[in-house]
Amino acid sequence: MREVICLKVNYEGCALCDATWGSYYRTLEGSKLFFCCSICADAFENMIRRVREEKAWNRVDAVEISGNYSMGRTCSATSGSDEVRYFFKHENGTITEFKIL
Amino acid sequence: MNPVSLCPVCLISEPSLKELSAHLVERAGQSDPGHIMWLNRNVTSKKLDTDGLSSKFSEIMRYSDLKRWFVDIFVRRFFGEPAHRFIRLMQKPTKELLAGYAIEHHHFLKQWVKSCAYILAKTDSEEVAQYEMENMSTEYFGWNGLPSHHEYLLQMGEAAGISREQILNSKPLGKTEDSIALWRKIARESHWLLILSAMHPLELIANKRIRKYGGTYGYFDPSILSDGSIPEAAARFLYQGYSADQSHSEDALEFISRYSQELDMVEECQEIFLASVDAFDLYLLARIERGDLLKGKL
Repeated sequence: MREVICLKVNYEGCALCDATWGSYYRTLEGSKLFFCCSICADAFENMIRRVREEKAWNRVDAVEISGNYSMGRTCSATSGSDEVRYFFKHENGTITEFKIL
Repeated sequence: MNPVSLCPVCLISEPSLKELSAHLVERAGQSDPGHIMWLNRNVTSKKLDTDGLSSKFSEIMRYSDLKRWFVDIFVRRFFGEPAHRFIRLMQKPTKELLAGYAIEHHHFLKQWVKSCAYILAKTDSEEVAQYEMENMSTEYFGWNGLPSHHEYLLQMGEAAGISREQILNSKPLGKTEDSIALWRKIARESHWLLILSAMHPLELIANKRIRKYGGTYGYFDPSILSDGSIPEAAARFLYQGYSADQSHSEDALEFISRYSQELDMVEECQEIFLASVDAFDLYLLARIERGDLLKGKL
């Protein structure tokens, strides 16, 4: 049986900021995700890449995000039974601050 | 002049608020980051159709006293609950924050006097010209034998641990640069009253009456001026702005109120102010970011 890969996010709107404006999609971790714009998609993609690097995970199953651009975002991510909490900020999609909590 | 609606993101003119709303909906539909970010921060992050956005926009633009409308928008954005992060940090500022403030504000002030100079060059109003000449002198060149605010700013930076050469030779951070780009564009391309409406209400930031206008905080906790928690030069700089910006900002609101009605430009003045407020929010974040970059280096 083929493994179904699907990244769970906690927002119904843009996967990063929850806005429902826009019409931008990007496939990440096997899931076609909705973003309001390419900047949010870049930030989300770079954030996932950083989590994978920091934790040496080969996939991320779920991400839960709270916060915003100016305050920064506090998140938790899971991969199988592993979980990590972290904080990050981005500038035009590039991660400028990343801390494991 | 025929009244028009001005896009607070790209500054293009549309014939009415309805058409401006259609423009914003269209640009957001194309996933344009600038238009979406503006809508998220200023109207709603939930997608609306043109009629829905037009109706929301009308609510935002409604006023009974135009001067008070400017004050209310500004107070809500920077001093509401939660207040802007820079305002919260300024209640008890660290030397890094003050140094970051000095560096980024140096770049802001360079654009500030240019914007004032554009108003001066474009206006035929004697009272506005006089106001701008005094403002430019106070802010950048010195007035009545007193040092300029810019000089006080450099002294604050020095007291916080960075030399004036470092400030003068610095490059602005990206956020400051982006904000200045908008103010530069407004200065070059817009009617003098629009430049004035974009720039001078920003001086409300240091207005002593901000708490009376509904702010959760003032610009800073006034006790820091005398409790020794910040260098004397920083207290001197903050006091200068505190005592001057009240009259500057309120005189400007008087001009905007009067001339915008005479020239039938009320809505444009409101919209350009909304654009400028967004840029100012970003610029205040740059002061924090610069302070963070200086941690452990002063």
